[in-house]
Amino acid sequence: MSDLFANLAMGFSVAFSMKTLFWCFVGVFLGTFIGVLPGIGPLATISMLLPVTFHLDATSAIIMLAGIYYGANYGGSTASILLNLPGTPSSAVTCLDGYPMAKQGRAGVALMATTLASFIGSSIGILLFTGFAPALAEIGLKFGPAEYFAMMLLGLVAASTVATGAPIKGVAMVVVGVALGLVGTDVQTGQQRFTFGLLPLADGISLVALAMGLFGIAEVINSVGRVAQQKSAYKASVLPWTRDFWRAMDPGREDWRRLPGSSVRGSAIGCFFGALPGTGPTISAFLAYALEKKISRTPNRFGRGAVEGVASPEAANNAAAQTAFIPTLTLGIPGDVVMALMLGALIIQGIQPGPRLVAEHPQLFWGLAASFWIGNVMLVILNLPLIAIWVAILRIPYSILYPSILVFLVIGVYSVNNSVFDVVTCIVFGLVGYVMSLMRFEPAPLLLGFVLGPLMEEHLRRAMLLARGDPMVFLERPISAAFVAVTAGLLLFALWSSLKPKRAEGFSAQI
Amino acid sequence: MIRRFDIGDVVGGLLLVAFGLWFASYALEHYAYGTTRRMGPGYFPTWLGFLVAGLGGVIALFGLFRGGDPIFVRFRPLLAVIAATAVFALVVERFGVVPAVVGLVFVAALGDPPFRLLRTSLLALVLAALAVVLFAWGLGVPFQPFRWNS
Repeated sequence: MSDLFANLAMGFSVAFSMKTLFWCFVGVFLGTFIGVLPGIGPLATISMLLPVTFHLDATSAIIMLAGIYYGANYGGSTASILLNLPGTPSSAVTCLDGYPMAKQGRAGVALMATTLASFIGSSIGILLFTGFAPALAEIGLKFGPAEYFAMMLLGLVAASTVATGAPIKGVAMVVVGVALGLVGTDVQTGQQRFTFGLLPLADGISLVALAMGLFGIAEVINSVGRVAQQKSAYKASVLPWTRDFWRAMDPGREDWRRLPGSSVRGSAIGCFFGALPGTGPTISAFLAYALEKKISRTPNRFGRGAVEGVASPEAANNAAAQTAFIPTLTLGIPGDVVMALMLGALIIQGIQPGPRLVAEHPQLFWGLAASFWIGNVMLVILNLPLIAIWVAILRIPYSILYPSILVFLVIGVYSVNNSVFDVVTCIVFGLVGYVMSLMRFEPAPLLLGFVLGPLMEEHLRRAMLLARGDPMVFLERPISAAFVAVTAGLLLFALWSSLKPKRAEGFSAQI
Repeated sequence: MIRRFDIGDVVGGLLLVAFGLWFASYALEHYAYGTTRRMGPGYFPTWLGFLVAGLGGVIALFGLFRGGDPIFVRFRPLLAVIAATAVFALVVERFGVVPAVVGLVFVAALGDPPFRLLRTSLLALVLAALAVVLFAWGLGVPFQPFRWNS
C-alpha cells in the first residue's frame, strides 16, 4: 500500500512538471474540441497528432494522446445535449435524454450532470487503473508465447465481432490488417516481404499514413457537403462569474438525489466493459442507459429528460475510457482501435507495452496515472465555466473546417520523415478507406490487425518452435486453452449472426 | 430502393478473394515456406492469404442471398480531397510547404460549392502560417517554407 502512495507521489511529480502539464492540457483541450465537433472524432484526431508525438518524449506523448481520448468523451456529450447530434459515438445515447432536457430549458442542468458524472466515472476508472494494472502485469509476466498468441487472437476476434455491425466482415478486415502489417523486413530472417523493391517499404507501411488515410482522408471525403450547420439550444450569453450562470446549472433537490447513484452504477458498468477487449465506451454507455431505465421506479420519464439518462451513460463511457488502458499497457493488448494507436505510438517511441512496462518505465506509467487526475480536473473547468467557448465553436462552418483538417493531416504525415512517399501511401489508403466505407466494411478492425499482426506472427513462430511444431500446445496449456475457447465461441456467434437478417448498426466502431 | 442482393458485400467479398489468393500465391512463390516447427517468412502470409480469400468468399456468398442498400459515390468531394492531397505531394518537394498548403486548400475548397475566393484565400494564408509556426518553430520539424528545385 505504501508502495502505491510512493509510486503515485512520483507520478504526480512527473505530471506536475511544466512540460507535462502543458501537453496534458493540449490533449484534453483538443479532445474536448473535437468531441464537441460532430464529424470528427478521437480516432481521426489521434492519428492526426501521432506524427507530432514523434517530436516529444514518450511520457508527454502518451499523456497528450490519452487526454484527447478521455477529453473527447466530455466534449461529445456537449454536442449531444445541445444539438441532438452526438459528437462521438460513445455519447450517442446521451442524446436520448440530454436533448429533451435542453429543449425544456434545462441544458445547463444537463451539462452540469454529465460533467459531474463524467468526473465520477473517470475517478473510479482511474482508481481501478492504479490498483489493478500492476497486479495484472504480474500475471502477464507468467505468459509464454502460446498464451500471448492466444490472447492476441482473442483480442482481435473480440474487437471485430462484438463492436461492429457485421461480425464476419470485421474478422475479414482484421486478417487483411494483419497481412498489411507483415509488409517490410521479416525480423527473423531479414527477408523483405511485399516491398516490391521500394526502399521506404523496408520498414513496413507507415502506421501514421495508414491510419490517416483510412480514418482521416476517408472521413473527410464522406463528410464534405454533409455536415450541416446546427442551431444550438443553449444560450451561452450569461457569463460564468454571475449567479445566473450557476443557477441555470443547478439541477434542483430531486435530481441532486438521483445523480450519485446513477453515476456510480454507470461507472461500474464502464469499468468492467472498458477493460474487456472488444467492448469499450460506446457499448458501456448503451448498457448503462438500459440498466438505469430498467431499475428506475419511473421508467416513463426516460426519453423525456431524465437526469439519470444522461448521468449514467456519461459516467460509464468515461470510466471505460480509463480502464481501457489497463490491458493495453500491462498486456500489450489493445481493446479498441484508439488503444491500438496508443500502442503504436509507444512502440514507435521504443517502448514495448506489456507486463514489463510498469517496472521498466515507472515514470511513464505512474506519470500517466497522475495525469489522468489532473486532466480530469482540467476537463471539469473546461466544460463548466468555459462552456461558452464550445458553444461558439459549434458555429464554425464545415467549409472552413475540412480544408483545415486536411492540411494538418497531410502535413502531419509528411513531417514524420519529410517523405512524399508517406503522403502517397496516405492517399492510397484514403481511397481504400473510402471504398470500404461504401461497401460498409469497417476500417477499425483493419488497423487493430495491422498493429498486432507482426507481434502475432512472432509469438506464433516462437510458440511453434518451443512446442516442436505441435499446434495442440494452444489447447494443452490451460490459460491459452481458455482464450482459444472464448475465441471459438465468438467466431461461432459471428457466423450465426451473419446468417441472420442484418442487425441495426448500433455499436459501430469509433471514428 | 432495396436490391435483391447486397452489392457491397458481394463486390467487397470478391475483392477480398482476389486479394487473398494473390497474397498467398505471391508469398508461396517468393518466400521460403519452412515447416510448422521452423516457419519460414512465407508460412504465415500464405495462410493469412487463404484465410482472407475464404472469409471473402463467405461474405460474398451470404451477400447474394440478402437484400442490401445501393451504393452511391459522390465524386465531387472524392476527387477534390484526393486531388488536393496529391497537389501537396507534388508541390512540397519542389516549392516548399507554404505553396503546397495554399494549393491544397484551393483544390480542397472545390469539393463543397459555392467556391468563395476571399474566404478560401484567407484560410489558405492562415493555415500556411500556422503550419510553419506550429511545426517548424513549435516542434522543430525541418521544414522549408519556400524552396526552388525545378
